[in-house]
Amino acid sequence: MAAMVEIEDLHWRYPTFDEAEEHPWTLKGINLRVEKGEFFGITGPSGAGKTTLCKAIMGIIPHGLKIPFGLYNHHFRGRVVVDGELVSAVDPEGNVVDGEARGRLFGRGIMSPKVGMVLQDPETQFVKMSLLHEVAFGLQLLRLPREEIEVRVRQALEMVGLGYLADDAEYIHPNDLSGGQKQRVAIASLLAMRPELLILDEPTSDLDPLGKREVIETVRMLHDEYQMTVIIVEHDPEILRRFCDRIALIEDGQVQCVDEATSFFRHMDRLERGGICRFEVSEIAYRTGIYHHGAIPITIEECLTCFPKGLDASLQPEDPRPQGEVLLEVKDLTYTYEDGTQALRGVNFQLHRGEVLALLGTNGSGKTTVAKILNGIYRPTSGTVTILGQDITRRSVRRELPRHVGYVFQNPDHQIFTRRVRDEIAYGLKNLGLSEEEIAERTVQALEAVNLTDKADEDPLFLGKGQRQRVAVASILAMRPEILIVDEPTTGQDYRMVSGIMELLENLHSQGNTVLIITHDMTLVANYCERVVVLLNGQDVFTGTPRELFGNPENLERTQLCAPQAISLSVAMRQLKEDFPLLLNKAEWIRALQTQRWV
Amino acid sequence: MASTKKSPAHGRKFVRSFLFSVRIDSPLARLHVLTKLFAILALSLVIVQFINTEAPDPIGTILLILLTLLALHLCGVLRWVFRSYLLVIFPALLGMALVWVAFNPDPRGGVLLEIPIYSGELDIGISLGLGLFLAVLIGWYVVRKEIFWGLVGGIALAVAITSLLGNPSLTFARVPFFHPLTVIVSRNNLTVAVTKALGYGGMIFISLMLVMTTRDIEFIGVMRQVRIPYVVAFFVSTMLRSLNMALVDYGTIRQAQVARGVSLRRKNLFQVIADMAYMAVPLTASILRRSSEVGDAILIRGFTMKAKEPTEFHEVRPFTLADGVVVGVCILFLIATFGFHLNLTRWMGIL
Repeated sequence: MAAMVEIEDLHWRYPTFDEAEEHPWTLKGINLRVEKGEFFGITGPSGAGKTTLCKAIMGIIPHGLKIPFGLYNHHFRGRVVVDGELVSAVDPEGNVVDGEARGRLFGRGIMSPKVGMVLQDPETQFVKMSLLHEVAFGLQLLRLPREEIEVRVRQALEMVGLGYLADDAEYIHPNDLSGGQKQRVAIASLLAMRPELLILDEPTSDLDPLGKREVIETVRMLHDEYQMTVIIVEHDPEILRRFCDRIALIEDGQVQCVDEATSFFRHMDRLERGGICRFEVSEIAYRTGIYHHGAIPITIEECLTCFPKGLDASLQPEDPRPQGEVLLEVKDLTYTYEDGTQALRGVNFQLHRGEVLALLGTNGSGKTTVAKILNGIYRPTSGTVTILGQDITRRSVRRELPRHVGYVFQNPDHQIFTRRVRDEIAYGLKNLGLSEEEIAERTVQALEAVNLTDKADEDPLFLGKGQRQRVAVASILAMRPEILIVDEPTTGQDYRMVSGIMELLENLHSQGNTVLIITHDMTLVANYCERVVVLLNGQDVFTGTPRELFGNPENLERTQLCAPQAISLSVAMRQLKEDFPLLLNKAEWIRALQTQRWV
Repeated sequence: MASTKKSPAHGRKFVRSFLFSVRIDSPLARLHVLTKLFAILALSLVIVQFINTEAPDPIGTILLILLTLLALHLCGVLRWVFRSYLLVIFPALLGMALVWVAFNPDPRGGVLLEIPIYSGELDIGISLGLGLFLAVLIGWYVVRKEIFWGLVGGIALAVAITSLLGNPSLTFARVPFFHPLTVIVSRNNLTVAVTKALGYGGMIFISLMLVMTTRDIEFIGVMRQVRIPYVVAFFVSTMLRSLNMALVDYGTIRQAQVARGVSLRRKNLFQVIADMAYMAVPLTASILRRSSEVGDAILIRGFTMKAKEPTEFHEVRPFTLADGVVVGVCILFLIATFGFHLNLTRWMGIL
């Protein structure tokens, strides 16, 4: 098979403003070969160099960057070839200035339109204010005839399942679409250019499970029908296993291994060492010593043949019922935006003291609108919301809500207001009008709660995303609200960061905090949430426990959600044995298996 | 791929423009950008003539400002945006009128009020009132670390005591500075002040109309029509487009600030300004991140500084009958104002 991408000994370091102090190498000798027509996965922890590698294949690195003094040999080594064409290589002895070799850069440079790259955040890659022109932009630059652009735009939208938007595309701002639609628009704008290699850099991190599946299935269909080569950077093991032919693990700027997708996730030690997300069933099997033909199982089908079917029904734990007083009650809540968009059409739920409640739903179902109403940012259009016994439709009550309801926004970068972590925590406390002594005391406690005491004097903008998320949580925690709302805490984070945030939420719960989590991460829900409310099109369509939601396929279909793997396995086992315990998560499975060895 | 779903754009009322959004079917959104630019220029020239100090035309200016407000309303601008602008602009215009009155002591037309406010010399010394004012201000700051109520209290105490006891003072020196100032409120300068304030208001509203009803595509189209290189047109439109994104970011950041209790306490002006300044950190960070990613995105699509003129695609808009009517009306205004020296106020015999 011919190679689509060949990378030899690729080294790269980003330029700094001050060339006297150079950054360490981001890529440290990457060797990689991707075959033509292959669906190739790349995974690895945040900061490993995955996006940098993709940009090097695209040619943005180094051709799209300004290298100070043209010192290419200080920043780039090795070579990148795409479809037999040299993208980038540097002759380290070339371009001698004042007796000093600065390196001469060769290669075609940016590989558009042969290579297309979809960035992680679709919103930031939109360059036009209409869907029509967003998809047409690359074609206009290719100077294709107007009629052909018209045809290709329509085709590209059809290919990604957005053909129904084509007639109104001129009036639709890409940013006004739902998360899944945005990502599909980003893909369509590249597909219209008919690339031979499509690179997707974490394309589904902001999407709900359904949107995630839709986007990847679209890409897989394109790959199968048009023999397109696809490289996808992803953390989700299910997506990598299901859609990829091979997977590379990148860690610390190096390729640690490349393996077939069917076997990549069976090497538990290697994955654990690399901080890579594993399958839940694999972890259960690994901890309890269950093997499928001598290997760790990764799919439910494999587990059905090797997991015990005789577990006692009594091993299913009782779901906790809400005990504490009702802190928050929402009845028939509706909300309509100024432009007439009806975001909420009747939402009802209660939140009890000390419980962890998950607010779930597809992109655009109204979850964040609910959170902003609960925090006093929006005023309900109709319905009642009572928090701590007070009706928040009254302006005076709404104004005071930030004292009682803390809201951690999805993007930590939108809520960092100062240049020192300590000051950031103190910012909200000053707004509460607390004394200097109390501010200092609460700051220390909040930093301890999120394990950031050693970062107290650092600039939050220079911390990693996971740490910035923690700063945001700490800033709200310090205000000691009765209710803490956390919006999408794990979005776009790698396995280690997700684990860290889950641990933090667990600690908060064990300290008696009342937490409302908005999330698309069903594993987080199964592991840490006691009850679930699901919104769909601005209405609540399910209220119950995670076990009731994930254990019943009808509920999943009605709510358009997907169950995590651990409970899906329980449900599959029930098909074989009716009274099989409905085990919700990894911990319940491991406990059950360790309690009762199978017959 | 079959597409059977109904488009959410069916029934869509608004489309995003550089600033906020505009009703898709609003008459002004359908006008050519050049027509709108011409209208701004023509009406601004007419306004400049109407606010002429020698022969102000308040009636004409009021009619024009009503016309510009109607234009803004026809844009289909969201009601809260419309209200917010009125809320910000009218106090600013009132301030402008007061400043005009204060610094233009024109007694023509009959003096209604005359207040000498400055003799043209600065006294360097101390008085009872000043002493009391400073004592309260400094004392309040030391105790409460706050200035606003110190200022208010200081002024109140100084006014109260000096009105009862007089204001004995000790002058160390007297230095000539600037020239004497007397506030003269006359019929003439009041008319000019009101006319100017309304006239500038009209100019602001009609300029807002342009950014509120124009989209990047139209802007690129018109720049291409006037043969401006595509690279320039693209960068200008991208810059203007980023206004829209910055507004979205501003909205989210402001909400995050509210969530951190920024509105929990009454704050003085300085604290409000400080709160606004805090927003610069996340706003700058998000603008920098966005600009870097947009840079990558346009490279991926094949844009370079050497990009040749791309294919025109639904960007260039033809002139329509409505454009002709608007241009015609604007020309009539210009002829009436500059050719026939139209002054509605005089014509109606009001002044």
